[in-house]
Amino acid sequence: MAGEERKNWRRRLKTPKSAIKGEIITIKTMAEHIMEPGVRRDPETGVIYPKKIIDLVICRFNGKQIYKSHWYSGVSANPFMSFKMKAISSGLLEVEWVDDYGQSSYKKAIIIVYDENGKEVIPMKLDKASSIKELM
Amino acid sequence: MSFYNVIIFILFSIFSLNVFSDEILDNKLYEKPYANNALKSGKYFAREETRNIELDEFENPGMIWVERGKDLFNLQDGENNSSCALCHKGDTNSLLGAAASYPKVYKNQLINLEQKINMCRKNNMNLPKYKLESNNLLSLSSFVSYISKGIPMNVSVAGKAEKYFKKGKEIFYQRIGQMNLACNQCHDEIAGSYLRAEKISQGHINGFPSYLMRWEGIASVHRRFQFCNNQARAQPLEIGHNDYNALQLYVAWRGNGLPIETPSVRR
Repeated sequence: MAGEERKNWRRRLKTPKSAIKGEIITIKTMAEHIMEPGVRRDPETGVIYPKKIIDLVICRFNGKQIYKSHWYSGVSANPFMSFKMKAISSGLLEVEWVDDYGQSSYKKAIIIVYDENGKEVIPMKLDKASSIKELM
Repeated sequence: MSFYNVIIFILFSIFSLNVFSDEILDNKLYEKPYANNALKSGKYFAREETRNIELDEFENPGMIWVERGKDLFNLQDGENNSSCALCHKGDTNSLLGAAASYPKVYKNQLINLEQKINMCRKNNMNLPKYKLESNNLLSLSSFVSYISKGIPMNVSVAGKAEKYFKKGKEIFYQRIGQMNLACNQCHDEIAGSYLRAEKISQGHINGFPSYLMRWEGIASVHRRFQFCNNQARAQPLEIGHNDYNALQLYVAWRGNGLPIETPSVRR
């Protein structure tokens, strides 16, 4: 309902937990939001509901931006969005939603990518096998 | 024939007609408009796109409410730190099939699931009642209904519930509003044909609380009844009214046997 203020907006993100290198995977996202376009009026008082929409969605993989979309009024409430990406290496996927008041929220997921031999593809290059021991 | 004879004849005929019609009502009281194998859930009348949204658990926006309901179920609140999960031992199986039997008679009053949750909060948890049709209440009721997803509707109309059942049936067949429409004229007689851009469903409530795209949120059965009344240009009753509960009992009974599909998605 438009007049009612909702707290704890929910963000949902669905990714495959693992993928094979080179596979095209589908990322599904859903944000709970009223997406008030700023043209509707309260039927009793005639006051216009102020505009409040999500206008920017950014998706980053290992800190690097891979997807970005600008939204305008006309997107439905509780918007569902999905896109495809190519799995190259394991990593952290973050999706960030920014509304027109500058409030942002994000959701993250980890995708593990295996190569054909069943070995994990790590996003960083290790020169030596003993490098982790040296750190400790 | 004298004047008195005529009067007596008219009185007798009215009386006998009444008896006759009452007999028909009594005989047909438990006659369902649809046989068990002809029952069709509302999703068969929805568009394919809408149905696909409903069937995918992630795409279904109603699941947001279900998830929030799960959080509220486990939330410890108030002075006693009471939560739903404490009484129900954190085991949602104790609520398996609970939603399928509502509305039911509780202490000589017919109540639906939302009112039962509020009673539980007030009597057992010592917490304030939720406002009817508020987000939190609908989240909880859709979570409780979601637990029994797939279980057939099974409301009881025997015993104390019988008078409410009769009242509900009366409301269902009563013509109301400027359009002079009764529920049965659409949902019994011409179900499946088009009303503007939408197909008329058989009017079952196995998917409620359901996500209605026109309101961008979960709506209870009573709010949907209000909308239906508005469509017939009639004055709707308030949410939680006893008459709506009776109507809900009748409507649930005529769909007995349909599996629960909460949260369904409709336009």
